[in-house]
Amino acid sequence: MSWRVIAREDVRGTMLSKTTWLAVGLFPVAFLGYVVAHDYIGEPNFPAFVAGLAGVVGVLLPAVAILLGYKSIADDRTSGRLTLTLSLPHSRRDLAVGTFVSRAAVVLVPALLALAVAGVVGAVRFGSEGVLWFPWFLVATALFGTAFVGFAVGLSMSTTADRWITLGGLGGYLLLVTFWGSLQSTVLVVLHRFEFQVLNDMPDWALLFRMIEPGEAYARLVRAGFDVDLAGLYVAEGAPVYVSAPAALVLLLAWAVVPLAVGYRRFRESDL
Amino acid sequence: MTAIEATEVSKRYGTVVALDRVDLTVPEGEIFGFLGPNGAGKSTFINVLLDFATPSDGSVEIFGHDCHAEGVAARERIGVLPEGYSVFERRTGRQHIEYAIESKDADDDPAEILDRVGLDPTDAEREASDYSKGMAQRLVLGMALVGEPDLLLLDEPTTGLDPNGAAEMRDIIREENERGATVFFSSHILEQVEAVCDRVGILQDGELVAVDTIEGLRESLGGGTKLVITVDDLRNGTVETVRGVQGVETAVEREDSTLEVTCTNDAKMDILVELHDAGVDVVNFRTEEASLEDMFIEYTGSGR
Repeated sequence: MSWRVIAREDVRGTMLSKTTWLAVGLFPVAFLGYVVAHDYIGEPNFPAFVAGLAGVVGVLLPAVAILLGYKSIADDRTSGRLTLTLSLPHSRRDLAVGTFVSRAAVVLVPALLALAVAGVVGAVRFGSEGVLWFPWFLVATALFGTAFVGFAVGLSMSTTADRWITLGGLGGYLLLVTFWGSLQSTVLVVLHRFEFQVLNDMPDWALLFRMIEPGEAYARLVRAGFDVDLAGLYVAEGAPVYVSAPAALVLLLAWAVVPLAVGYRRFRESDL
Repeated sequence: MTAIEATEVSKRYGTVVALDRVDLTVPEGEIFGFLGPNGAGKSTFINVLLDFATPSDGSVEIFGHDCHAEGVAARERIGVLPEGYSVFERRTGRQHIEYAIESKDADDDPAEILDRVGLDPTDAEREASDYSKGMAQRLVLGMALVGEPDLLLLDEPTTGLDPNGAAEMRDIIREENERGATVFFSSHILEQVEAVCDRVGILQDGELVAVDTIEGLRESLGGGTKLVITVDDLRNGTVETVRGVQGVETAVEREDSTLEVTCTNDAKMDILVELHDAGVDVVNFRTEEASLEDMFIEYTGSGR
């Protein structure tokens, strides 16, 4: 169980860094800021507020998770701190698990705390309709954040080349957060010989293709708790089972685990 | 029981051979010095021991545990002062020792360890990233000492230490050995090794060219005599003349018309006769016991 020792040490080290505080400090600013903004731009009810909040989470949480994870192991490796850690009786797997758990905690604890406070303030302002599902929203958010921490820590294990790490972090964010939907639409339109009609009536497989985007899977999970205008594609009549909420859950877990496993494999097989 | 058992260990990086079929056995309780010029492959060998690098061929075991397949078990009973490390940022010296204690599941007193390696309480509360290289070496040696390891693995331990610090390091090595620990340390500085080691191995271009006791190495050097000869005028060809004498191992020119020659005991007179015949006047000469440095030069061929 020596991953616990590593996780504890990594939490201590990470918490003392200014970058960490600046990054996680964005959570209360953004989430509480949204409480104020929702007054102007959203419908004054709690589910709509949560849906709006999920939109803010969807942009901010991946950025912070990648920022605090994508160099974690690579930096220690090139600087020689890893030499010290792995001289002690820790395995590389302990290191991978410990770092992942630590970074997940450093990102998620402040994010969920800020969301909880925002949720309470939101409930006071916009009514308590559906408020019992708010913990579910926090769980979904935790899963969503974990997916990006897994991606980032996996990336940090896969290479020591700075430019690949930077490219991977930035590219990962742009692809998974910004451009996935456009990419999916483009592929779909090309496959259907530029009949744009297909975008309004997607084949079932294309729905899954779209929900692979972590933000879509997250929205699908939030929709499972709140009857709001989110992830409408997947709850339409006749939507296949592989775009149901449990499928979204599996997809988010896969986003956390698969990059981590791939990165770990590369890390395990390489010389320090 | 054997502390370190290396069987035909090779490590290749592309076409470069860093280690070439190294066979080495270090029995428990020994102080073993691992010598070689920089770039000979010492660190590569230690990286294989620590599973930082996987050998291309062969295997290494520490107390019977394969360093690659059972890396954690192999590292459980050892204390390591690696090379090329850096300390953790924003963590004090004391916190480093505490981390080692937690990691090894030991119950040492951090203050005691820090005192032993010569870091005073004020230093201990400072951030280790502000330490000098010498202080960092002391700190990491302290981390290595945590948990009374059965094997100490020290890679160039005296780097960054002043002569005083190096002497303290040697004292600690002896103390640990008396407690029962095996010590394996690498160095390119010969006097360090000569002063404390039971046996030495000399690595050159990835090959282990000699493993023996200091005495054994001296004997293999033919009695281990070093002749220091001062002549009136050191001419071109004089060194070659001496090298031509049977029984001469090395002949090196020093300043002030002085020659340093290592040779078998019988060859001493022959050398003086040969110099006389060549018309060189010998002003003075004395004999010394060959130091490990002469042997080192002999084995690694870096002096000629």
